Amino acid sequence: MTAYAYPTPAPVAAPAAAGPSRPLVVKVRSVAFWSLIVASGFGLWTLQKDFLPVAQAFPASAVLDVLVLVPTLAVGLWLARRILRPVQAPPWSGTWLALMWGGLAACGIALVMNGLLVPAWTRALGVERAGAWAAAMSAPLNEELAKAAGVVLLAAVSTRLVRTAADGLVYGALIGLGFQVMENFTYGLNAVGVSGGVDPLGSTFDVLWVRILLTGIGSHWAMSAVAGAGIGYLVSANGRSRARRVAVAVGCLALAMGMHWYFDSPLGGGLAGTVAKPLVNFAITMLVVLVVRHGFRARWAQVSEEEVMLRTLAPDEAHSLSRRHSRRRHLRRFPSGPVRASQERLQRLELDLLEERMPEQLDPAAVQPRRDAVAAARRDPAACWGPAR
Amino acid sequence: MDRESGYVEGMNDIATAGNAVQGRHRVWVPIAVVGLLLVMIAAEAAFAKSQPAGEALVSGTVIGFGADRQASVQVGEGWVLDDAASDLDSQLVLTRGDVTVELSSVIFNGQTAPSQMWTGMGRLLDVERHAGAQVSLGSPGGFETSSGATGLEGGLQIGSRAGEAFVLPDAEGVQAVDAKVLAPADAGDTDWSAATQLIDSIAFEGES
Repeated sequence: MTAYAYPTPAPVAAPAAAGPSRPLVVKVRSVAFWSLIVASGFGLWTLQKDFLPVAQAFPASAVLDVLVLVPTLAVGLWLARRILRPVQAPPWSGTWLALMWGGLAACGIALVMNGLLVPAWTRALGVERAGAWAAAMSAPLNEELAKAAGVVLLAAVSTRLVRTAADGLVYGALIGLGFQVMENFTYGLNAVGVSGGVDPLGSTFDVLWVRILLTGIGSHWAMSAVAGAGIGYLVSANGRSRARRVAVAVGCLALAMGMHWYFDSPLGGGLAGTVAKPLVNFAITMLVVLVVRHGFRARWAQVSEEEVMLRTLAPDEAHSLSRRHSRRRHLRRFPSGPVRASQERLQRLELDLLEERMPEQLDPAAVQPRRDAVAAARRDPAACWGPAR
Repeated sequence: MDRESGYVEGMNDIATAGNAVQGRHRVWVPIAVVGLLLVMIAAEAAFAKSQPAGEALVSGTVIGFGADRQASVQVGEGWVLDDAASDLDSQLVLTRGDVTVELSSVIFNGQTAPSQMWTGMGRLLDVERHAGAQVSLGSPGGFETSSGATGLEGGLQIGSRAGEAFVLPDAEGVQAVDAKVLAPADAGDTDWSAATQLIDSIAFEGES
């Protein structure tokens, strides 16, 4: 490992009354932020134009949609934030932006693009062939690009949101989750037409359970997690050559499109195919998750060790930081009340420091103020800290 | 510390800390992303526009439709299949002159009476109503095809187009074809009678 030649921080005065704030992760005054907002507004307008009349005509189906999909969104959100990102969940600001892009912008944009491309394929290939292949020839391109665009925009909203492949993966999954939930909502409403307006609740329920319980495990969240991991790798300052980073990003996007193509294609049809295709996609995604986690944890261990050598962190602290349960166990060693609260704040500052150090090309000296903040918190646990976010 | 941005003094700011989208990249990357999406929409619109508007059908052509192609219709002279609006799994849209025939394959969760099917069609037309169109569906009357299949028919108006709506159930009452025949008021009689023949030809697999 590399030991950097600058001294352990000398004691400095305690921070000012407001104390050191947590790192800012979203900046409203940016082109990317407003691109996210405007595109999401466009998506919302497109979606309401097509589906508000259906929801008004079949309010019970719309209510059932909401009642079923809100809990699935909550569960999906918890799983994505808890499992897909090692060490700690992504910030809520980025989480909401990702869900917004997936559910509104990407869904609305894909609706427009599919509305152009599917009929075009039908005209070009004829109704028979297009009936089988038009979805597979349209959705992977349109939907995967629309979702992946959100990960790139998040990377441009803030250099802190997408710093590693793991960040790209979790934001891709969150965008895919938003997309999946909104798509399920629209399919739940469309199902009413398939049964001729008779028993709308039953039709909506039938579609929802298939799309949630049978195919949900390997649908949009999985595909865009794979594409997102590639974009995370592309935009991370990991010291790899541009050609390599572009190749990985293009490869991951192509893999996501391939997963989507297989999912939508008539190959391996029937009930067995309906069950098997999502499982294949899930297995591919888990493989990508394992590779990404391995890379993330290796870098985390490296920067933790460096900070221990610099005496910013005690060895047991560094060890406890890398996992949620070990952080909780570490905190339980302190009596509850102000002491444990100050230790929790210290732990948060230490996490911020290590997160800041994740980009490999960043000069380790650049995070010196974060080290100083940790040192100050250790010296004066009763100091008043900035708001946690 | 910069109180507005929340940064500890000396720390890299948000434009430089963390990833490779820094400096001017943070301006042109989002513009490029949005531009790419707009170019894709334009390219797909151009591709769609370059394709023929519909497919002229040879008289006597039989088209199977529905999820299992369980329903079929035989077209006469002069019919054009609107490819863009048709999906063999669920719906066919056929035009002849000013007359448009929309055939939807419907599968019910259980045995359903024709009157319930008619009510369901009325509810589906509520979608058009909520979208801002003026819709009126008349009371249903009995209908029988030349092959002896029975269903319901009634007057239908959507916006400035008027015509007839039909519900043609199969013998078990578990599936049906919902048909809408619409045209402007000045549509020719030959087109109307061709549409009637088209509806008359609708059959389900295993039935004649």
